[in-house]
Amino acid sequence: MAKIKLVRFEIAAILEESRRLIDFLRLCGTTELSSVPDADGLLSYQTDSLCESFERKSEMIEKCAAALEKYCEIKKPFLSSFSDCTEIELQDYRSVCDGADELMLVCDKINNLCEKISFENGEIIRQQTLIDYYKPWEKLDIPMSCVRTQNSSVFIGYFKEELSKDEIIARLASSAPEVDGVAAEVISSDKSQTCVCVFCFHEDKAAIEAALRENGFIKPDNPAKTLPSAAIGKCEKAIAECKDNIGKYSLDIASFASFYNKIRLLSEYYLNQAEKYRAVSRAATSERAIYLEGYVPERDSEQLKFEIERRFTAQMDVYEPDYEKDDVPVLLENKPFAAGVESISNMYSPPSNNDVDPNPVMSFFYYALFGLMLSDAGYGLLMVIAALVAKFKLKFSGERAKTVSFIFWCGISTMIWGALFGGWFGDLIPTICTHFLGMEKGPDLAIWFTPVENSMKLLMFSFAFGLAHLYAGLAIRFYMLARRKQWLAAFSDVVPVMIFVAGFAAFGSSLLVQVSPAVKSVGTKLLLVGAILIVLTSGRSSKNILGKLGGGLYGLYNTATGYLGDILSYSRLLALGLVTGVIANVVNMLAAMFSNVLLFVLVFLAGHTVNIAVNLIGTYVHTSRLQYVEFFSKFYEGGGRIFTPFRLNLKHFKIKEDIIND
Amino acid sequence: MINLGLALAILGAALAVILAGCGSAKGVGLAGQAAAGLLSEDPSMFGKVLILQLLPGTQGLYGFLIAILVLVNVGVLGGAPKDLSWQQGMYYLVACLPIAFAGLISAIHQGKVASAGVSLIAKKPDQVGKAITMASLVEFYAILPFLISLLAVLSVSVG
Repeated sequence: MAKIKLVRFEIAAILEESRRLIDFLRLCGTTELSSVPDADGLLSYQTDSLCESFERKSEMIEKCAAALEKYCEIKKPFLSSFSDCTEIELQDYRSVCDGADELMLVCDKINNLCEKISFENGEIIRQQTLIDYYKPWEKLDIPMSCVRTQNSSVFIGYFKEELSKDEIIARLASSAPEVDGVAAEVISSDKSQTCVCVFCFHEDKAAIEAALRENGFIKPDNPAKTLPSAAIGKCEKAIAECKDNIGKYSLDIASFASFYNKIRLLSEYYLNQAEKYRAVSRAATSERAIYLEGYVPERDSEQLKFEIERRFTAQMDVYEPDYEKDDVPVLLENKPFAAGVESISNMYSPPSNNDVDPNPVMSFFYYALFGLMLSDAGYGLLMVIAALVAKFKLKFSGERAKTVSFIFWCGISTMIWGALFGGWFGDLIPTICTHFLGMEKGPDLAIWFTPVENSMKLLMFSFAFGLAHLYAGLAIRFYMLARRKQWLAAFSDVVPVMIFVAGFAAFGSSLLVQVSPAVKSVGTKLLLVGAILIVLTSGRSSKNILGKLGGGLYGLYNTATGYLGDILSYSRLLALGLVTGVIANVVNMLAAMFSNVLLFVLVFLAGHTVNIAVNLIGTYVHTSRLQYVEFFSKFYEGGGRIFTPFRLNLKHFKIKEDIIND
Repeated sequence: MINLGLALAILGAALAVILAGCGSAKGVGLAGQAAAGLLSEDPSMFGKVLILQLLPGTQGLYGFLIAILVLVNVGVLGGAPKDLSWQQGMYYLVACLPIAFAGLISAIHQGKVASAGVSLIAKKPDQVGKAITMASLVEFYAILPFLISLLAVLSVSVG
């Protein structure tokens, strides 16, 4: 069985030992804790705010780690961008836990420095804005705030348009014709503004001011009290100072480089602490005792009970879960071959407690159909190589290892189908033979047949594979009903459909291709027998005879249309297979057009990369769809919840030794 | 040699590429807008929404494929255009129509379903499987016309 049986447990322990007990359960990593229901005299811990504070700390520490990565240029090997997992000893983890407070001080220092750096960056922007502000006034040789000299009044400001000195004087003359003796100097001008300095005698001040205002003269908001060029110099000096400071601070941050791994571990420590206190909140306490409830795999339950009762003043009870009432999770355990597709079925919905684990059967069909749709031995080979590199170089565990096995088996299947249909990077080898080796015609590599030339044949086989897939689904349904001893349902829901569909397929194929008359006559008979059986059985839930007949006919209609659609749906096997193959051929053809080896290689690489990427996604989606819509609809309920054990969860680290042996 | 037959065949190829391509462009565009909205909130969803965004792109690919096969069959690709009668040219033109029109419409609708799927996984990230399945249900009605166009183009060789 690929589904591991889970049992429910209850632990009662004395309160003083609760911390140690929970730590122990986490080290074991085999239990899932569920909430203890409310009862008189029982309390539960409110740990929400504590958990949040741990998460905030972890977030803050992540920022420090990011700062260290930025300022210390921590080098990561290329492959680590895929794995990013450092192996550590349990001792290292313990020392980080114990030194958490000191490490937090380091993080505070780093964070302080980061804040200072962002302050300096803000200051640089501020000074830069000031420089931009003073720039148009740079040539002014008196302070911007000057309003008068000994003999004259001074107006410093700008117009929001491009004006020359003569234009300004002309405008002032027309606005204040009585004034004689105005001088103006244009400091700078562009299309949007003209900065000017206007002089007049003290007695004309009021008239000129009014004339200026009338012509749209604006005084700057905060004029510099010094020469504008001096102000700019000051700003530039300030910027240089800021940059100096930033350099100093980043050096300071870089001096903490050796803490990098510890800090990342610390962040994960706090996340795990949050997780732990969430688990604690599910427990209930009385004055002296703590109660825990949850699920544990049956195979681990006995050892766990023994260990807990040996180490703690505690009592552990194990009993069968009530599948009707409790929200019992499911735990799947499969060989790598089947485990590869677990993520696919979980993406649809994890199996419920009524379901069988679909993965062992599904994995076989998934890989077979995937390979048939991609069907290029070259692409399959690349997938296998990628999977092997990942397996032996990166040493994944858990979900990632499953993904690697998924890619590996999809690749193997793709290679097999590709070899059968003669596709190695499309028609690469024949193309090379004809274009570069001067042969008349390349070799035919297909072990079975070439799909492009025999598309009708492949269409028939696609339907046949589809039929096998659907039959497997029906067989599982039969098994599930039989396991629950619902024999009537098992025989009447599955067998008539199988007979009907078999007859339907034989009869239908006789319409499309040449088959022997025997197949046609047997097919017709099966079709009739199946149809009669379906009419007789599918209306059985109805009470009166008319209802039974109506239900039966409706059932026949549904079966006929449903399975017709289902089988036709497998035509996508042909379509996607041809898409991959023909596009690969087109790429080769385009590449060979240049008759130049270098260009050939370039076009070949670019074209096939795109083809692999697009078709991998297409194949993945459509194979999944065939499982979800055609296969799962025959037997699968879903809606389960995956068992998530309470354990130490490290994202970027892997603890070497087996942590339960301590 | 260029004649009416050849021109009709190439019109067919052009329609397959243009209409199916326009449909895919519209569909991928719709899904892409929704995807970008989601990514602004949660960039880690990129892998999931990428698949959804690419799904309406296959129609363009199907149209492209039919067009290439037509061009190969009539000898335009390969350097020696064949001498087609106008009936033969018409045959290719009509053979291209299923993927051209069904590709156009189905890609747009698939794009709408995909963009709705993006908003589904924005709220419930674990439902990505269902979002992808729903979008791929629409795709089937591009695969059927594609097969018909494909079989029609492959099963006749001219000249």
